[in-house]
Amino acid sequence: MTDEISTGKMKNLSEQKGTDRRRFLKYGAGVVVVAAAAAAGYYALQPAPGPPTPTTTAATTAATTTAPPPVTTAAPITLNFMTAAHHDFYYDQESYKPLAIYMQNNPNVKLNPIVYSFFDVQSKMASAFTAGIYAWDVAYVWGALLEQFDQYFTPLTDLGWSTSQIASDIIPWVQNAIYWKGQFYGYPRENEVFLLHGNKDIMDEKGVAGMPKTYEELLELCKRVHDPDKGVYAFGAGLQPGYLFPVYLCFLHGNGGYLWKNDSQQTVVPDSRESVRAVEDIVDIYKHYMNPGAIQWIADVQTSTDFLQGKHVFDLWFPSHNKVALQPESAMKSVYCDIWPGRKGVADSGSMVAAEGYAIPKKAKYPQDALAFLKYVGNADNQVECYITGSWTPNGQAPLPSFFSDHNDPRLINWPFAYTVKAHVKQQMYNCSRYERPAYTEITAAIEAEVSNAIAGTKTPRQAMSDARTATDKIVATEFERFGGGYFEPWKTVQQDSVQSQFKAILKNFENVPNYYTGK
Amino acid sequence: MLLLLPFFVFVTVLMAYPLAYSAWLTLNDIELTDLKPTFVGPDNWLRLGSDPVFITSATNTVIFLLLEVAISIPGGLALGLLVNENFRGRSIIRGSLLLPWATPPIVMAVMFGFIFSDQFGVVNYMLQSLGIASRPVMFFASPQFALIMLVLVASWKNIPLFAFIFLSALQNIPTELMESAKVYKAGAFNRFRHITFPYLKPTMASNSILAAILSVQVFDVIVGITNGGPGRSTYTLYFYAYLTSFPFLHLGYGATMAYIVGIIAVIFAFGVLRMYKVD
Repeated sequence: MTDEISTGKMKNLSEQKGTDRRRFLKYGAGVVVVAAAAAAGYYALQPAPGPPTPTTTAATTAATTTAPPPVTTAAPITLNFMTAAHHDFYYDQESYKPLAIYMQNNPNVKLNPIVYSFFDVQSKMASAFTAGIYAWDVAYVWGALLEQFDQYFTPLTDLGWSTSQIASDIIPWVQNAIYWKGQFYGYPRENEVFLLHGNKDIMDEKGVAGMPKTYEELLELCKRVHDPDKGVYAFGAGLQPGYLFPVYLCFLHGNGGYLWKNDSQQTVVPDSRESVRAVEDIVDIYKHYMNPGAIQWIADVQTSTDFLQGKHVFDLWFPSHNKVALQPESAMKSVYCDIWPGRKGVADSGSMVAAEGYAIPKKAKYPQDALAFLKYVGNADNQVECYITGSWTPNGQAPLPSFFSDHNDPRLINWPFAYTVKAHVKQQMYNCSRYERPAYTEITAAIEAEVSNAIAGTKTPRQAMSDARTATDKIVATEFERFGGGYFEPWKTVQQDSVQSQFKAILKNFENVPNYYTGK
Repeated sequence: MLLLLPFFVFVTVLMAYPLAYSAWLTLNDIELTDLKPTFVGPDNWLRLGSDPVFITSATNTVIFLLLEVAISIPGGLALGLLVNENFRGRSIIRGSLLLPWATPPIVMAVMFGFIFSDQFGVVNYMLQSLGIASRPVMFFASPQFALIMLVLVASWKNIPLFAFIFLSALQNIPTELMESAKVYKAGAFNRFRHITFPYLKPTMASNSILAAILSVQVFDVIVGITNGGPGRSTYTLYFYAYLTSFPFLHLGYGATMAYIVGIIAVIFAFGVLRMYKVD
């Protein structure tokens, strides 16, 4: 081989490599210089970024706003709009496309939706905010997120927007998502409560005439419809940790309980008499009337699927799957939707609300444009249209409007599925608190694990909730050191006569709407 | 010396700095919301002893590790010996061994969620069809068995990997030794005991350490199937460290737990090296 190299028949590999390396470096450097020159030229030819675009959107009230007027003179901008995957009604809807409408009416604004899984939002926020970088102009929030990251969001008053125009119109449960320590940080968008649904087809078959008014009645009806040998269980709810807390709260409120003490720390009391009773009820209904698999079910996946297939008769979940139930492929053709019944003589009802919204980070590039977009998010047209044309997929969500005044919209009142609106409004007159506070995630994990222990039978309900109290006491003490208490809890506000009468006034619109829909 | 610079930069930036930073985090009370540290000395370490969730998670981690090593190392060895034999379709079998390892863990978790589902799972369908069970078996609903089920799921992924590593070691055993053993009428068991096993000892040790590392790091399977439940029966340290650091935002305490995860793996690794007398 050496001979072949020396005679030139074969190239010395080391030489060949050396030559290639030199060539590579030479041409590589050339490419880098050309690319840098091209990039410099490109940016030099781009118009300089203008100051935040002044919006011409008129000051709006939630009820009367229509689509914002077009802005054609302002410089083009891109608004980075961070949202959660389950808000798919914003970015991925078949019939109503709010983002496209906004961009059509505001040709200078390009909305760039950045979609994260609900479970990732917190860590994404932590990374972006603590790094001190610009990431979004509009960001998805809910109570616990806002409370943890309030220092990174701009109060709306700092942007010259007086929230007094909307404050009294926002349903207090929803206010929780965007209000913290006396300041409004954003606009609400999500408003959903857990409701009791009934498979009317099976109930009719079994001679059950209507929905239960008390928890005791629910148990009676469960006894009548429960038929596990035929694969039909009476009751369904997702009990896997991570999805269990809302179910627990419905049982807690139905037993007349309240999760917080009225002290400076707003101590969490999962060991109260009502809470222990609530867990006993969950264990009891699980043992007697639920599919044993429910302990490992994710609420909005397996539970909804089973309900739609007629595998359980009563279901505790958001009203998202009502309309799906009436689609051709669903086994269920008629469905009830009503409030979660409380224990007789203890509480008429009680449930759990999910409230979410959008706020403006301090590092936003275009805060005024972001504010204009928030007003659009909150306007009646958008909120009502999103609901009635919602995607309604089994796992998707189409939350109800966030403002009292939206509920006077004839589109909602005359809607074929207005029974869900009626149940929803009625439910919100009772305690639906989610007890959001800075340590919410940690508190709920502690309670869920112990409720799960009780359901699995490894602890008695009393023992489990006593352990939950030990855990939450530590969490609350640490939280108090950092945040100092004073957490907003809407139930006190909701109980006020003025608020109750607003709910009653809305319900008058729905007086003639039954609590069921039949597709037969 | 200059040629070693990239290596030193790599080690410093990607290993030494993160390790030192996380060690410093364990001595601080630091929240992910603002990253402002408050020095607390050994408080985070002392707190571990009085945290019942940590104790449960640590116990589960050790159980998971021991079961995983006990199942996947013999399983991997058996499979490795099998695919080392000559039979038709050997190449296909060997190639397919990589499939479980190539499956993303979260996909695997969802897949096993379906397979063992009480509603539409094939396992329950078979059990009921064969009359072995009258009602669906809740594989992940029992606090006593949920962790064992997760170990089996993790083993499904790890056994083929270890089989592959054992296979490469088996192919390095000199054939002359085996042939002369056969000439001297040594049986299969004796050949395995006196030739194969001694040759495989270093591989056995490295596979056991790898199994331990994979076990203490198990996460996706837990999130995808049980989310830590029922109760906290499937909480492991890695899962609890994640919860503490991210959803709960306590970076300092979470880092302390992450160190414990590392310490468990290191202790196990030293134990294995001593046991197999490997340097």
